Amino acid sequence: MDAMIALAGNPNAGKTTLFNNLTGSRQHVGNYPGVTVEKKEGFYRYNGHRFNIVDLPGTYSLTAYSLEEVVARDFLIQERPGVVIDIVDASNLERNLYLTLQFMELGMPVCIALNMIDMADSRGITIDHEKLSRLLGVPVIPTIARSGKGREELTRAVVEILEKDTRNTEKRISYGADIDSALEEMAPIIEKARFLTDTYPVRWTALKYMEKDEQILEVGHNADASVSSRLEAIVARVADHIKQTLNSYPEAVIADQRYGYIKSILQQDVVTYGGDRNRLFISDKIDRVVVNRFAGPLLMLAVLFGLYQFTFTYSEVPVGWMEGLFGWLGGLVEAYMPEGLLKSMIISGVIDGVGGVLGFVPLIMFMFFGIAILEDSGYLARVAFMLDRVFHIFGLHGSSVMAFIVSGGIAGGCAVPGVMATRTLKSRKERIATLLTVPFMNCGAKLPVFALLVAAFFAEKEALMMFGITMVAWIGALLVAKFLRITVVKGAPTPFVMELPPYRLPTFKGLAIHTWERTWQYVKKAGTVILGISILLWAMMTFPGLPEESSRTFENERQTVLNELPIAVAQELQDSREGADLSDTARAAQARLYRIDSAEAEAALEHSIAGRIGTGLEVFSQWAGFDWRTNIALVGGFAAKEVIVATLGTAYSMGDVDPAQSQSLSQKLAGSPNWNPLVALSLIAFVMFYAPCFVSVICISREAGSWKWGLFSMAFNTVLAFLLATSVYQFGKLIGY
Amino acid sequence: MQFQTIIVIVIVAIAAFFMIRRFYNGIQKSSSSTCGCGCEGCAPSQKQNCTELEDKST
Repeated sequence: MDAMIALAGNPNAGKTTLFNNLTGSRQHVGNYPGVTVEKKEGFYRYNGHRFNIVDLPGTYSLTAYSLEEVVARDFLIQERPGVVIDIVDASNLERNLYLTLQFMELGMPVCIALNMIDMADSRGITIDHEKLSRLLGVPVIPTIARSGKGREELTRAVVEILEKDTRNTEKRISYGADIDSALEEMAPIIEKARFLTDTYPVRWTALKYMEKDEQILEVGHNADASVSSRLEAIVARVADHIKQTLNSYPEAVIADQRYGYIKSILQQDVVTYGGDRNRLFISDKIDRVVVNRFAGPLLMLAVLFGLYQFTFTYSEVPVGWMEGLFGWLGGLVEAYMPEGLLKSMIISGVIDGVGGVLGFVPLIMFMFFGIAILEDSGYLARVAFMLDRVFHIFGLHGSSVMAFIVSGGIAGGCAVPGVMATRTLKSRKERIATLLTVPFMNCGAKLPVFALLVAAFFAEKEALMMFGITMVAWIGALLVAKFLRITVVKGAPTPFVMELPPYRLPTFKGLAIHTWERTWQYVKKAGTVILGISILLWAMMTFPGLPEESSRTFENERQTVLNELPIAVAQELQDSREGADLSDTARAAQARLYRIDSAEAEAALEHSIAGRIGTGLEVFSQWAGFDWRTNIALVGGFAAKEVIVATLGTAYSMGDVDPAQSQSLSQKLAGSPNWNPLVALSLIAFVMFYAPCFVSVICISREAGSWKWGLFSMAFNTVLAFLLATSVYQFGKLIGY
Repeated sequence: MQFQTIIVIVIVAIAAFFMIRRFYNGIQKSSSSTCGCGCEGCAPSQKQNCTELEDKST
C-alpha cells in the first residue's frame, strides 16, 4: 500500500524528531518553536507498505493567523493525506488537543502520537491513553520520538486507519446555542449553492466564516460573492448578539467551547497529576533566574562572551595545525611542480585561497558546538524571550528574534535560514523589516573574515573583539530596523506570545550531529562554490599579464643586478639551494632580486582584470582605507562572504615571491604597509553591514515576493556599510590612530 | 601552447560554467521552487528539504 502521511502538531512537540526517526533523515531539530517553516518530505517503508511522510510546520490552530498555519491547512485540504499523525506533547495535553480537535472537525483521519511521555512521567503526569483514545475515537499511541519508542505501535495504528478508510467522519462540537443555530442556518445555504463544497466540509466552512478566517473569506468571496455576503450577514448578526449578551465575540466563544470540550474529556480521569500540580518544574525554577529582568540580560552577555572565549581559546592550536598543513602542501607543490600557470593556480588560487577558508574549520567547529549546546538545551529560546521587549522598541516582532539568532546573532549562523524563519511573522511590514536586517548578523561566512583580522591586529583580545563585533551587529541591525519602520515600511507593531520549551540536557549524539552538519556545510561550500570562485578570481588576477615591454624592463633590472656581481658570487647564487648559507654579498644580491620579482608580481597583479577593477574602486575605497587588493576581495564577497578570505589569500600569495618568507595570511596582513588596526576596524564594519551574499539576496527577493527588496538590500546595505567604514577610518585618523 | 596552460584554461572554463549555471539556477528557481533555500543555494535540492528514500522496514 502506498499512502501519504502528514506529521502535524504544535511547535516544539517533536514532529521533526519523529520525521527523522521514521525516514532516517537528519533534518535540523531545535529545542525552540518554529524550526520547520515549510513542509518537508521523506519516505518510510513498513512491511511492504510505502509511506510518503510529510513534516508540516508546527501550528497551534488551523485558522489562518500565520503562514505556518496556512501551509499546514492548505496541505491537509488540498493533498488529503491518508492519515494525520498528530504529535501531541504529553506534558501539555490540553493545549495540544486544541489542534487535534480541529483536524477532527476537518474530517481528517487522525492518529495521536502522545509524545515525550517520559517527560510527562517525570513531571508526575499520568495519562490513560486508552481511555483518551476511546473518548476521542482515534488511536492514541505513547511515544518518545527521540529514542524511537512507540514507533512500531504508531505505524501499526496508521496502517489500521488506512485499511479502515475512515475519511469524512467530521467531528461535531457544540459551540453553544447562538453559534450552533447560526451554523445550522448557514449549512443549507452552503450546500444548496455548492459553495466551496468541492474543497471544504460544509460545517467547517461555516465555522471558518464564524471565526472570520481571512483566507476562507477571500476564497469564498471570489467563488460566489452573493453567498459569501449572506453568510457574513449571519455571522454579523450572531456577533452582534454575542457582543450584547456575553460581551465577547464568536472567535473567543468558539475557542472557549473547544477548550471546554477538551477539559470535559481530560477530567474523566484521563490525566492524573502526582504530587502538587502547581509546583514549579525544574525548567520554571531555572527560568526564575535565567529570564529574570536584571540577572537574565547579564547572564546572556556572559554566556555570549564565554562562548567566544571558549571558541578562540580551544581552536587556536588546531587552527595552527591547519595553517601548517596548507603551508606544507604549498611547499610540496612549490618544490615538485614545474613553473607555470597550473602551479600558480594550485598554490595561489586553490591552496592559499580555499585553504585560507578551510583553515578556519576548527574555529567554526568549536563555535557550532557551543551554539548547539545553547540551542539543544533550550537556552536560545530564552534569549529570544528576553529580547522580545527590546525588539518591540525598534519596531520588530518577537518572532524576529529567532530569525536574527539563526542568521548569526551568535556569530556562526547563516542568513538564508534566518530569512526563511521570517515566515513566522504575520505582519508583512514587520517581515520586510526583519528580512532586510537579518543579513547584518555575523553569519558563519563572515566569521573567518573577522577571525583573520582579529588574529592579525587584535590577537590579545580575540574573544573581546568578537563579543564587541556581535554587539555592534545587533545594535546596528536594530537601529536600521527602526529607521526602516519609520520610513519605508511604516506600520504598527503586532503582539507576540512565545512558548518557552523546557530545558533539556543535550545528548552527545545530538551535539555531534548538529556540529558536524554545520561544519560539513561549511567545508562543502569551501570545496565547491568557494573553489569555483577562487579559480575564477585567480584567473582574473593573472590575466592578461604584464605587457612584454614591462616584463622586459624587470628582466633588464634583474640582468643589471647579476652583471654587477663578481663571477664567483653569481655562480654562488646560481648554485645555491633554498635555506643554504650565502656570503653577505650573495645575500644582498638575492634580496635585490626578490625585490625586483616582487615588484614585477605586484605590477602584474595590478595590471590584471581584477587588479584594474580594484584600482578603479580605490577612488571611493580610499576614504575607508581599503587598497585595491581588499577591493577585489570585497567584490568577490558579493558571491559569498568566505570569498573575502580566499581572495585576500590569493592576492597576497601572488605578490609573495620569497619562498623563505612562508607566512600565514594574518601575518602577511599584519606586515603589509597598507594595513593597520584602523583599516582592520574599518573593514570589519564594512563586512558586517555590506550587501548580503548572492544566495541571501535571492532568498530575500523570494520571501518578500519582489526583486525590488533584494536589490534594495544590496544597494542600501552597501551604502550604509561604506558610510560606516568611512566614518570609522576618518574618525580614527582624526584622533591620530 | 604549454600543457599547463591548456589544463588551466579547461579548469577555468569548468569553474566559469559551474558558477554561471549556479547563478542561473538560483535566479530561475527562486520564484518557482517549493522547497526552501539552504545556505548554499535556493535550488529545490532533494537533499536539502525533500529527503531521500530510505527503507526502514522491520
